[in-house]
Amino acid sequence: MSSRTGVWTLAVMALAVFLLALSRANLLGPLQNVVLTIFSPLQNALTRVSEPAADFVSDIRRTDELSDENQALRAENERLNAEVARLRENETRLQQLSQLLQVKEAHPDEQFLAANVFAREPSNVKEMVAIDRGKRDGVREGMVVVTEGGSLVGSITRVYDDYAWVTLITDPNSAVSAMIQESRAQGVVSGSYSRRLTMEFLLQAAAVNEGDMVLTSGIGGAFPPGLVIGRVSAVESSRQEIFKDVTVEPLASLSRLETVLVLTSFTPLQLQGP
Amino acid sequence: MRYVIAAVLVLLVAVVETSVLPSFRVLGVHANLMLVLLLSWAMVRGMEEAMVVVPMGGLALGLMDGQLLGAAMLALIPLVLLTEIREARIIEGEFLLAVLLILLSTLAYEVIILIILRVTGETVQWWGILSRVVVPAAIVNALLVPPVYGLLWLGSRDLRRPRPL
Repeated sequence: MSSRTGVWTLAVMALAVFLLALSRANLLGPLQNVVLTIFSPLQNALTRVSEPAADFVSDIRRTDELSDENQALRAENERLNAEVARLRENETRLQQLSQLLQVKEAHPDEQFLAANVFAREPSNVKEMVAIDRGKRDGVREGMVVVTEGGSLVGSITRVYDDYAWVTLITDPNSAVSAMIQESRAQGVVSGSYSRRLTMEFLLQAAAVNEGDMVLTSGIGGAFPPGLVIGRVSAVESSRQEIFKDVTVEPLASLSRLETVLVLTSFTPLQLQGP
Repeated sequence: MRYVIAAVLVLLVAVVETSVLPSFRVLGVHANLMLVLLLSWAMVRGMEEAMVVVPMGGLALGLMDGQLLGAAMLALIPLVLLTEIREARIIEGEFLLAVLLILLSTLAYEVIILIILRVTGETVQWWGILSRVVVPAAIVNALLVPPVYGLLWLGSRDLRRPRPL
């Protein structure tokens, strides 16, 4: 390594560590808020535009289903025209709003704040989305986020004045106290690097079947009880293991989030050890 | 002027990386376009420019992603150090070397991000990280090298213009 590269490395490392320290002390929030204010409209537009293309790429991978789906789509395309497309967009929006209303009616005591998702964390080791609500709207760290359908999305982990980052339940660092609705068996739903949700600490004796609904249990105080997380998609038992290996399919489409609700009336508990 | 262009480019890449790319998963991961761009920049336009553009890229990404500001900058430092391998000439051909370096840079980038997460109190699942994240991400990033490297090479005619005597 040349001496010039050495000096550069030390200087950039010192700058990066300095920024990390300031950022950890929440002193750079206003700067990041300004940057997101400038770029969030562009990020939002690009996210919306890229979703159909992303769906297309995803479909290519499902070659077995592609032929049938292609025929169906071709038939559908023949019927579609610009006016119908516009009306369908309006209908989708109405459905979303209607679902928001239903969630609010189902939880009259809870207060929700609707937010749009405009960006996603680019790292492959974190699962986060950015929303266009922040401190000024009453959003605080730890608040719970659900879909317009009422199923769990994650919790707020970083808040700026006008924006916030939500860590999804599929994040490798996420752990949600959960229970099987049918048998009331309790465990912890955790994320992973493969974006797979697993329910851990379920004893071999616990009654768990494919298709069972998984809800938040409320234990620990970080999430309110009774929120839908997903359905059990696979159960593996082994006599040699203490716990079952349970895979959970999230009910919310976490890779295609557009509108979410922040549960502002729920205050997560900060439990201290004994 | 070249640094103004570089600044605009890294800002645009940061926007694309936080909006478009997360929707396109290949092998379970998405590409790190910033890493590919900066490595290609260092290979095509040289270390001197890379030493300015790499911190710019780290800052741009840090301002728009969900992690602590400075994390991306720190994770990008090995990229410049690895580019020095070029001087050793262990592989003939700049392009092949770029592919090799992107594999190593991806490994370094992901590991540094994980170390920062661990130091800041997050639980890191080291088990399986290599097969589930690092190797697929390195392959996906390597696939992006040809177009990015090629475009930068084409756009760097100023470096190939004969100097007046």
